[in-house]
Amino acid sequence: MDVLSDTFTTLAAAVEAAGSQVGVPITAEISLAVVLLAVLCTLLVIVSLARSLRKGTRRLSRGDLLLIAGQCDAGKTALFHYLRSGDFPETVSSLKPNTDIINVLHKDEGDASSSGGGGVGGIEVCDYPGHQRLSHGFFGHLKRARCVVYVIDATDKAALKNVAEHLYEIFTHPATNKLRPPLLLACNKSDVPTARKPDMVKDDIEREIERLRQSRSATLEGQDEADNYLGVDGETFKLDMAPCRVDMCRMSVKKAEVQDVIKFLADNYR
Amino acid sequence: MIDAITIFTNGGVVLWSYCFIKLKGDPINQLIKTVLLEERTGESVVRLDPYNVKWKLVNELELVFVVVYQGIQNLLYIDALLDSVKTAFIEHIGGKVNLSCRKVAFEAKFMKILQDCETKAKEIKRTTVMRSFCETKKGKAATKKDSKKKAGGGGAKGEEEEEEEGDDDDGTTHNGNGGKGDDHGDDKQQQGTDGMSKEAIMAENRKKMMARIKGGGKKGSADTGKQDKGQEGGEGDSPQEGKKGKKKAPRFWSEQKVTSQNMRALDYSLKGKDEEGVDTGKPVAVGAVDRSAYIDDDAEMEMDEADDNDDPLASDEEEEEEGDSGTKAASGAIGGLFKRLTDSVQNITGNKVLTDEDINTVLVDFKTNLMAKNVATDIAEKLAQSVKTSLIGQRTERFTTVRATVKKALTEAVQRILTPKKSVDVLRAALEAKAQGRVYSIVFLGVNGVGKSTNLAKVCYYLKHKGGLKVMIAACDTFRAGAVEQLRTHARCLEVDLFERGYGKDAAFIAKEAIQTAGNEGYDVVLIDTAGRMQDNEPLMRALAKLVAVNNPNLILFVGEALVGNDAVDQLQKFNQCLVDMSHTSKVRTIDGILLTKFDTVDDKVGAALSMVYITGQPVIFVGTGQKYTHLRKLNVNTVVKALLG
Repeated sequence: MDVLSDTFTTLAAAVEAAGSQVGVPITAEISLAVVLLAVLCTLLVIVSLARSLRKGTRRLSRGDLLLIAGQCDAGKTALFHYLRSGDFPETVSSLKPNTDIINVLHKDEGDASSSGGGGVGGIEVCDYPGHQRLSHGFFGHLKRARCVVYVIDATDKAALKNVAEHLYEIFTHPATNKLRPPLLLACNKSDVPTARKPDMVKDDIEREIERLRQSRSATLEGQDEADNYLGVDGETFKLDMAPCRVDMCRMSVKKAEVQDVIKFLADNYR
Repeated sequence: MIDAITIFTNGGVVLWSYCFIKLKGDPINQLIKTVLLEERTGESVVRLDPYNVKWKLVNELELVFVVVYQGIQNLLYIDALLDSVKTAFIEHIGGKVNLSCRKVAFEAKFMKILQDCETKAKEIKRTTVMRSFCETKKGKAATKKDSKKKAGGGGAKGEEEEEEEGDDDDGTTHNGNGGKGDDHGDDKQQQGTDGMSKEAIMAENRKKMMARIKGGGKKGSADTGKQDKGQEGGEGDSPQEGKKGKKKAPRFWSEQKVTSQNMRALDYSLKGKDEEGVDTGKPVAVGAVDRSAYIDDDAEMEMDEADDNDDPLASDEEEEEEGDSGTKAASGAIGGLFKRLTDSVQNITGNKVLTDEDINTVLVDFKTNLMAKNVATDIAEKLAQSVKTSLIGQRTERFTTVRATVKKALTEAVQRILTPKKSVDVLRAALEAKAQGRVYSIVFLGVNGVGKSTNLAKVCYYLKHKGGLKVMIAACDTFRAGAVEQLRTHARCLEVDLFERGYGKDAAFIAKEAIQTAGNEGYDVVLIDTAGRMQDNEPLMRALAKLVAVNNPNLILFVGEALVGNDAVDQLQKFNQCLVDMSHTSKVRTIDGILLTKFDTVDDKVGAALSMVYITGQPVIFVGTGQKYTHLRKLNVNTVVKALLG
């Protein structure tokens, strides 16, 4: 308190002096009031700044987030926890995103020989739930993403339709077209015998997206959200035509086969 | 017995689970997907065949506790179990949850809790089973009196005593039963006294019964003191009597400051309430006593016991309430100002733990606002309830008010509800069917005058011109005059073919024929128009269920108008229920999607969209916004959310 009152008095004295310089006689009371007012103003500014900061800064460049996306039960949370602590907890469908700063590459440098040159620690990783009801918050995260790992359940053929639809939405979203975050399609559960090979998954996804392209180009009249056109007119869709780089790999979190994902991260966080 | 119990975090990591029996399917994930993510947490138990699932959210730690059990069980026991597991588990993990939390060993503690709960439940069960007479209050009084009687020895004396006390008219007759039932040492002696006074007692009882019938039980005929009191009030004249008896005490007004105690003493509204409370109790008591004059003793005994059981409970509650208000008053007097100050500061700075009260005050506004926007009352209520359960115990973020926090949660909830959980792309599905060589069929159903035929024509235009598909319209409204002609006009304008068989035929078979014809003649899509029907018209609903069951269409579209308010709930529930109840096939179909018509007429009162989607859990697939064929849109979720909560 002493310090505070000291500063107040000195400030008040300064204001008094300034007033006398200009030629206006200023009493101690008025100067104190002026100082108080100034303090209040600065406080207000700080509060409003804090508020605007909380709402999130809009950056035009790519962020530093590693976004783990995918459908329900694909293995996103498992991958998240594997990257985080190297174990594989039992999970149920997530109700909210899991976010943490993770030292992925430092930890796995030893066993992943292909990680190529010094590890980058402290990646912000976000595991976003796959349930469609939560999909409206997804693109907010996509805007901050440096790269995306899209986890696919390779044993579930029926889910591929939803995967294709989600990918279509990602590819046509303005954020993707502007920021072009590299995307890795990780076909999880490759340890299961019925799991499909990445090539087959790729074919299926391309076919589904082609069909979507047909139906979506026939938008209803007056549709306000003008989707970006995907691919090249007159050619069937291939994943190479996507606005961002798309890679495929196989993965099994259960069997700890995530080298390709780690390599992908190493490439992107160099 | 419960089948399984699971504890997991909102992030999706299972912290502990225990299965008594291997579960069929995955009720936990089903719960998450169909309840927790659909804003249906207002309730706390859901039926997911073959299980019942009960859950508890702990928002401050972002934990979910789930119990899975089968059949109808004592819910009180499950509640108690969840509560004690919750407390024990939070203690077990040290009151903190983070991403590193993994499965913990909790079996031993859980087993102990379960055992406790089970034994408690059994005890409760045992006490609810009829007690032996000697255990009841009256029984004790009776045995006491018996011993007195024994001391007096003479039957005449016993009679006198009874007259004095006046509340044991049938107690002695019970005595015989109770005494025989229990092997008391003094059984013989009792029988002796019984033998002696039996006739006298019977005569006495008869006398009393007559008096009761005559005087409406005016004179001390109630069994216990409590009932006695109640009955006194029940008679018309007794309250006045009571007043007469009480003298008006002079009130002293002092110049001193009014203390809260004084205020309480002067607050007659509270007292009035208390008296009312007794009043409401009276008629029942009177009825019981009156009836007891005519029914046999055993039945009366049961009633007495019910009273005995109720009374302690009721008094407990009263005490609790008193205790609550007492502490509240105290805190109001001492810490009220400080609390209000910190509250208002926290309201600005955030980091405030939300309580039921905080949320309620804010939520009421939002609820009325939603209802003003034409959201059905039930739905607004459920939604508010759900948002509340998801918020209680949470901390507000920095620099956010309670209001802003609640609004954010509500906005997210509405957004989540309206966001479709499956593809709403009809054209894509139709193209896919075409690729596989199948005919894609859509049934339009709804109540009268909502615009089924008009919007069928719009969908037809969309599929034909935008998707390049070959479309056929099937006129299955064989009921309303001019329905077929109306569709013929549309078909001519759109240059598509119409399948019709005139009026009065069975709609289900016309639809079947249409689909078959379409398959043979290379059509891609069949749009089936049905007659409008009110949801309460059972014969028509039955016919609709038959149409759906016979044809098994690819898409069942419910056409509803955006003007509808509370009736939306009823309509959709009944339509869905009829499709479930009245179809005779094993594979039950329900409504797959909603076509919301007349959307251009409601301005910002778009609540019907929310009501309909919430009830069915199905998305709005199209929105009709005008009179032309091109006036068909997809629902823009953000616009609706803004209109509802903007």
